Order: sequence, then structure tokens, then C-alpha cells
Amino acid sequence: MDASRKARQWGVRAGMPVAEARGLGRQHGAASRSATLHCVACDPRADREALERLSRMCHAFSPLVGREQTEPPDSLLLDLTGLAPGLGSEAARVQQVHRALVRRGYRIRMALADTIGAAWGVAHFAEGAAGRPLLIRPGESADRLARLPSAALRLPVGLSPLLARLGIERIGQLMQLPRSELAARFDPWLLVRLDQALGSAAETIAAQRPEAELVAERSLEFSIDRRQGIERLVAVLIRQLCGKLVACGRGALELAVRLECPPAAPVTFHAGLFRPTASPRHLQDVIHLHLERLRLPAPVAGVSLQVTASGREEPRQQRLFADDPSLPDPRRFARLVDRLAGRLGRRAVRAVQPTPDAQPERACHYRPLVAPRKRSPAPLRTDRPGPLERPLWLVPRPQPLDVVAVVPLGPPVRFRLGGTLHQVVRHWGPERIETGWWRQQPVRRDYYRVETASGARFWLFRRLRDAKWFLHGMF
Amino acid sequence: MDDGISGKQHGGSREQIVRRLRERLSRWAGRTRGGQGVSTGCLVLDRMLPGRRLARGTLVEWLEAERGGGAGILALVVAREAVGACGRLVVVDRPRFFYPVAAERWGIDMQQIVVVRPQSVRDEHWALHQVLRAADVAAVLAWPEHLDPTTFRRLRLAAETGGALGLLVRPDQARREASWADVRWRVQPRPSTAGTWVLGVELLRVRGGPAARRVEVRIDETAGTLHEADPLRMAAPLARPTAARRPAGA
Repeated sequence: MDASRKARQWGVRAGMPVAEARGLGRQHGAASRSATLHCVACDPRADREALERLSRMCHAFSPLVGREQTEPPDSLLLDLTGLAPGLGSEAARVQQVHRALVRRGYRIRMALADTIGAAWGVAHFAEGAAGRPLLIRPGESADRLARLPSAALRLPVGLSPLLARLGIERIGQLMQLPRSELAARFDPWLLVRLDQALGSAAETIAAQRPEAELVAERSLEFSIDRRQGIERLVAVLIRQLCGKLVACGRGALELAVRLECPPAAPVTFHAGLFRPTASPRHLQDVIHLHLERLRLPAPVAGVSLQVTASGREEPRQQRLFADDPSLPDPRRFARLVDRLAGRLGRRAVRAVQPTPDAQPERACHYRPLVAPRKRSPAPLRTDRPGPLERPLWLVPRPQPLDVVAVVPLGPPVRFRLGGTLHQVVRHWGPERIETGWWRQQPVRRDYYRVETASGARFWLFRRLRDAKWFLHGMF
Repeated sequence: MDDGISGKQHGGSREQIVRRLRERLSRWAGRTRGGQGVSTGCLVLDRMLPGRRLARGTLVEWLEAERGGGAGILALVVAREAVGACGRLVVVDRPRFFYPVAAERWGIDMQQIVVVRPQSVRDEHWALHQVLRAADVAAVLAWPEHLDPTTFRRLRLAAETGGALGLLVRPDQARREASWADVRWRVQPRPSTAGTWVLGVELLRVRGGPAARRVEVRIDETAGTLHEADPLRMAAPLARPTAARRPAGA
């Protein structure tokens, strides 16, 4: 929880009730006219993800980066022990981290101390930690901690107010009390935290492993121009990549392939997949279809494959008869979809969903099956009126027709389609279909199902705006 | 080996022996393709087929005498029977005319449909080959205009491998082309009687059975079912409103 600089000027503070903040916002907003107060709900998951991203970035400064385990997750722990000889002084290192984070627009509090507990306490509670990093020299942690409030010990909820009621406000006061008393009267965490802050109990950083970069690449001394050679090289790289994917229990959802073809610009393409997979055969199949359609401007001097989107690979029970075609296997279908999308394009393979729209061409929605970015909403159940009320073939763009109608707003009598004059012997309708005025192009149509003298059936409509006729479907 | 078909043992005419042989062959064929056959959704059409079913892993062709002639509807009803409650229907739609809402109204859940839209004829044939060969597809619906014999045969072999039922709706001109489909129908619309749409269906070719037979099928609009057009019954459709039987899958 936090507030912007402007909001802080108005008196909005972190931890303030939303209603109160809004009141302040209204009061000041009315006066200034140029600014209004926006309240955004706190999203712990997004916070955690952002912190994870930061921790990945911090791997540039320390080999051991971890997230503080207490809630809410707001702290990163970096271990700088023993880095000084090779990488400059600790102070310089800390400044470097501080600068890098501030440049990215973060407001941070930072401290360097002997122990994790001391650094955490100083960073959170010491005055002066907001603007610049605080460096506590070795051996001075205890003195510095003694002046901080007891909450700086990362105590469990409720313990700090209890201590405050007993008149213990500073850590220094706690340090003077006999340990046996503290152990007997308070939560055992109090002593643990105190010892950790002072360095008499060990504490480790729960390291965040940097995610393995899922890349496989190879540069060649001599360029190759034979397809077979390129495919073989790609196959080798795919096997490497799949090894990495299996090691982290993930499957590729999208692959970026880059072929270096000097002196021409490199050729790149993305191959999307229907389901996360780490099967070399499957990936090879998909890449092969892309390569097949590719025109290379020059011989290939290097190939790089990178997994740009991955997902957790679903665990699968092994079958006794692995390739029994009579048993349904979602992976087999995924392979088919990927193969189709690999050659025909991602947008050519689609699933269909009904949508609640009166306009016939919008009554269903097509969604690419490969690499779906978001979960599809629950299927909509539509009532099923007569099956012959809608044509099997819908002309994507209604085709203008020459139609003769006896009465101005009456049913069609005959129409000309593809050079043939069709006599209408029977009609059903009109079925009026209108969309709301809020649509950019609202639709008002009278639909007729007609049967011609030969027995064929068509779906026509009259546009009410200008009484023009169109063919929209065939049965 | 006692095959139970010798004329001496069972007696009966030559026709009976041939019929028994055919039944046995079609049973074997059904067994090798795994599983039950598929009904056409219409009793009278089923009766025209050996074993009264369309075998999975084969191709069925529907020739449309004219546009808007209802051949697609008959193919769609077969697709409904083939996919059942949880099978998959892949529609290879190069002309981009297929309207899934109609399929839903004929009883196929949209969730079961995958639409593939190839750009070129070559891609269309390739996509058809791929989906027919896939084991997890129950039926494939497509509108290929021209199929050369090699491609057609390749598609047939693909269907045999995968076990999907391939439903090809084609223009009437395809009649002159050689066919590798197991069954070939020609559909000619007829003027409707008492508001009920009637389609004339001619069986041009069927593997393992006599062809060149015609029937008339009427479409029950309310129930989404197909029936034999019976002039007597159609004369007074209002008198027997419950005549339309709903099949189990509808």
C-alpha cells in the first residue's frame, strides 16, 4: 500500500482507510480541478510477481537473491558476502543496486548489515533509509538495532503491541531483559528473531533460483544451404532445448526461431503450440512445417531457438500400449492441431463459441486454438429453435441481389443469382433482426427463407434502411 | 474350413449366398476398422447400405445437384451421428462459408467443432489428409471441389489409418470424376410438400452393395430428424404431430 507524491501532499498516507482517503481526494480534487484521486485495490499476487521480476534482475548483483518470507512480500535479500575482492567494495556494490532500481522508477529502502535481521530492521525502520542506502559497519549492528522500535525484529502479528503495552518500545530494552524471562513470557519467535538480528542464530536466504534461460543456439563456421543439414541442426538444438524443458518440468508454448543468413537479415519466425510440450518429436514436426514454407535469402550461418512462452507440462500416466489409437489421447490431438497451425497459420485453426448476438454473422465467435492466451469463458447455452431456420452456408459478406417483390415491403417473388433466375414458390418470414443503436453499424434486416421452383432453399434479407436485397445463406 | 456359406449346406439361391458373403465381408471390414458403424440418421438411407451403417475410416461423398440443395444438411446429420456426445468434428472450410450456428441447431455442440480454414486448394488437400489420418477425430466435413484420383486415394488411405469418417460435399460436376469414396450419394431438392422439405437422394455407388437406387427423404424441421417421404403421411402431417421420432443423440 502506498500513495503517490501528489496524494501524500494532500495528506493521504499508507494504511489509511479508503473512505478517508477518498474524502481527502474529493476535498482537494474539487479545489485543484486538475487532479482526482484514484484508488486501486491491492493485488498481492501482482506484488509477488513484480518482486519476483525484481529478484531476477538482482541476480546481476549477487549470486544469492531471495525473497523475505514474511507477509506481505515486500523485501528482497541479497548476499554480498565475499564479493568485495573481485567486484569492488560492498559500499560501491550497494550504491550500484540502489541506482539501478531507482532508475527503474522504484522508491526503495535499502540497508547493508551483518545479519539479515539487522538489515531488514534498519531498512524498514531507520530514518534516512528512504533516500539513500544505509551501510552498517561490521560489529555495529547491535548498537544500531538497540535504537529501533521492537517491530523492526519481524515479530509475529500482535507481539509488538503487547510489548508496547508493557512499556518495551525499543529493541535495546529487550536486549537488557534476561533471556529466561523473555522465553517464559513471550512467543518463542521473539528470542529467535532477536538472536537472528544479533547474529547469534543462523538465518539463511531462501534463494530464488534464476529461471534457466530456455535457449539453444549454434553458430557455424561454414554456412549450410542444404535443407537437410539445417533440419538436422535444428533437431539437435530441439533435443537440447527439450532437455532443459524437462529439467524444469515445463513445456514450450511458443518457440522463436532465428536463422542467421549473412549478409541478408536474419530470418525469424514464431511457432505456437496448442499445449505445453517437451517432446522433441512434436517440436521437430512443428518447426519442420515452418521451415518447409520458408525461403532463405542466403546459406544459414547460425540457428537459435528460444522458448518465449512456456507452461507447466501436465503429468501423464504412462500407458501399457502407448500408441493404442482406440484410447483418446489429448496429446495426439494437440499434435494434429499444431501440425495444422504450423502449415496453415495460427489463425486458420479455430474453435467456435456461441455468442449472444442477434446479428447472424456475429452469432458465433472463432478463437485460434493454438497458444490461447486467456481462458475461454464458460460456454453459453443457446436455446435451439428449428434447425432449418439457419443456413448451413453463410455468405461472409452478404451478396447484393436483384429481387422482384410484388408489394414494396413484401416477400420476394423472384431473384437472379449467378446468371440464373430463380422463381420463389414458397417463403417463410419475415424474421426481423435488429441490433442496438449503440453499435457502430447497427443492423436492421428482414430475413426470408425462400424455396425456389427447383426445391433449393436460400436465406435472403431486405435491408430496411434502403430496401435493398441480399443473399446471406444457402441450405 | 466350414465357412457356413456353401450353397449345398444352406441351400438357397445364388443371391442369398452373395448376400450372406457380403454381410460377412462387411462384418470383417467393420471389425478391422474398429468399432461400430455410423448411422446416416435416416432409416431409409441406412437400409440402402450393406450392414445398414457407414463404416468408420471411410469416405462418403455427397453430390449436390444445385446450390442450396440440402446435401450439406444430410452430411451434417451423419456428422452428428458420428461425433455423438463427445467426439470431434473437424470442418475443413476453404470457401469460408460454414456456419457453426446451423451445426449447433442440428445437434452438434460447438465445443466439439474445430474449423480449419486453408487458403489454397493444395493446403485444403493437405489439411484433409492430416485430419483424416488423426486418431482423435470422429468426423471430417469438407467441400473439396476437385479431387484428382491420386489425392482422393491418398485421402481414403488416410481415413483408413485414422478411423475418421470423411464427409465430402461436392458439386454435381464431380460426378464425372473417379471416386475413391465408399459411398456416393447425389442429392436433388424437390419442391416441398405441405411445407416439409423433401430431398431426392440417389445412391450412385456403394462398396459391397448394389447401387443406383433412389429414395425421397423429408426433413422434420421441429425435431431435426430425417424420414422417408411417405406421400400418405405427408398428406396430413397435422393429423399425426408425434410421428417424428427423435433419435437418441438428438
